[in-house]
Amino acid sequence: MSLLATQSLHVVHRRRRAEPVHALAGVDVAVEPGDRVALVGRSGSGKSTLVRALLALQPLDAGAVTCQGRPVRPARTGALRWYRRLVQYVPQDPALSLDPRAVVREVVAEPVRRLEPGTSAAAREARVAEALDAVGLDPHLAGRRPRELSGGQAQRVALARCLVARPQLVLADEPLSGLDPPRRADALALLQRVSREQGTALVVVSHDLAAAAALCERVLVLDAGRVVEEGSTAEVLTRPSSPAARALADAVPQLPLA
Amino acid sequence: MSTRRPAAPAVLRSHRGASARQHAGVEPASGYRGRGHVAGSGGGPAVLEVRDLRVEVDGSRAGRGTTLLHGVRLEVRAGERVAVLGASGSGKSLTAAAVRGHLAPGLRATGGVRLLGEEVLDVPGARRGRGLRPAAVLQDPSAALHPLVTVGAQVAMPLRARRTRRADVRAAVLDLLASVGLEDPERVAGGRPAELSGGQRQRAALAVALACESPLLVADEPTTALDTVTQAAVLDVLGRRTGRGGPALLLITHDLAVAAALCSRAVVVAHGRVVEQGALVDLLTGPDHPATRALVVASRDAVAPLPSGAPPRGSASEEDDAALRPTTADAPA
Repeated sequence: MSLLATQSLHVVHRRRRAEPVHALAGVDVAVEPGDRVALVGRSGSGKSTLVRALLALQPLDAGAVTCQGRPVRPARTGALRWYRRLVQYVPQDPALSLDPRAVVREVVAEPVRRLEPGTSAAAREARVAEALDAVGLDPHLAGRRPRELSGGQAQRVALARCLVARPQLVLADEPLSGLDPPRRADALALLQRVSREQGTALVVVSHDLAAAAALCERVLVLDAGRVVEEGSTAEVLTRPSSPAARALADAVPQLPLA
Repeated sequence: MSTRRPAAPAVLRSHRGASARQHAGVEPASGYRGRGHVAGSGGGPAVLEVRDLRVEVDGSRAGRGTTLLHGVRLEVRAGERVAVLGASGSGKSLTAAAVRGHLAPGLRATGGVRLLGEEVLDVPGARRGRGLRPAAVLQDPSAALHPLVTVGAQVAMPLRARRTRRADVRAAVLDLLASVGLEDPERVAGGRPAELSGGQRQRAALAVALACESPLLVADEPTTALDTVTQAAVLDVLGRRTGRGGPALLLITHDLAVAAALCSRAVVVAHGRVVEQGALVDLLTGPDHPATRALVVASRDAVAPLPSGAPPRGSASEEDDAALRPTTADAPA
């Protein structure tokens, strides 16, 4: 029984005055505890729909998402508490995802407040401190608001907010895209360290095979709503067999460093 | 396909009457060339000269008096592609904004920005003559394109300043759309930006920029919002359509690999200053300044190294060699 899995997942986006889009056309994914798996594909390959399905935010047309064998599907607030404790999410733009009115301490405490309502204030404080420590964020920043944080600090806060729930799986959406090289290296090292130290499974969704390879051992290549290739990231990067994977591998930016 | 041409909104049409300015053969003012900088390979006339560009926060705003650029100096010659490299907040986009005449209100610029030898720093972009208005491609193509005007009409607008016959304009529009790699230009021309994917939209924005027939194209993180496969395709178009035979390119990016794919020369900006400039290959292989070194080291670490022992990509060895070189820089114009 996998930690998180999908079984022949189908999602069709029906749009007014346009052809329906078969965003997911039978996707099977299985993630075991401690796995580091990348879901890689071009824009329009179905990544975002898959992310929404894995977060139980996307109604499914067929198939299922299961977590430890239990079905996961969109439900009223609170009904998925058990799932949110196990699977947490880091959005692509962490800074935008932080409540601008809350201070860091409150942002990071929120999952505990929501998911484990019985927790005492003291225990919550301890959890927040532990999460901030895990991402290497100076405790002095706990009283700051998001606009007073640098981009790198905001990313750490978003990751701390995710780890405070003590999840077994972290789902990161384009964790390295659009970052300048120092921040990219920083975010990469942070995710590598956290996933190693916390032992959480990591699912990275990205269009960038290089980012996937840097973070994950295994990769699934998505194209037109299907998994067209699966294997070790090193293998797919160096010996892609499907046209989609080859296009992604060829597009990995190269530095002319002798 | 319908040949109906929707009317452009008046506000977008306003520059149609602007005087067309000759830009060929304009000589840069003497004494304006940078000392000690690495000259462009082309050695053509200077298209852009930025000298001692300082930008500070003006007036009564919070942070007044804060200096954001401390005297940036750079030069782009005809036929050249030059990268401005730097981390977030280094001042590279601000430099681009000053060159384009699009500094945010509340910022004051001093120093010099010369386009084709003419001083334009104090002239807002919209009030500059045609040849003195750099074309631009920015990170978000949705913001660059008018959502309610067909793509064809948007590409046609700048073209109409130089072509009077409708059929000529139409042919040039379709040519341009095809040249940026848009399949089925007829259909794209008749549709609106929302009907395009992100990559197609950036190509359309590039077609509009090229239609301006400006001597300089400023591209500010043009591929950051695109997936890697689309990025490679857009870089290829930029490589074919700029530089020799096209507008000179000023590329703003934090991505050294993107810069390497297009530019032979680069300027590194850190904390509002040019800290290093020269041939891009030299900067990558022997960075001098700590800021350059930090960029190079971080880029090297953040791009997945090929696992040791694994064969390099591609099967033929000449392909391996080619994979390490900029892929588009040598492409024929």
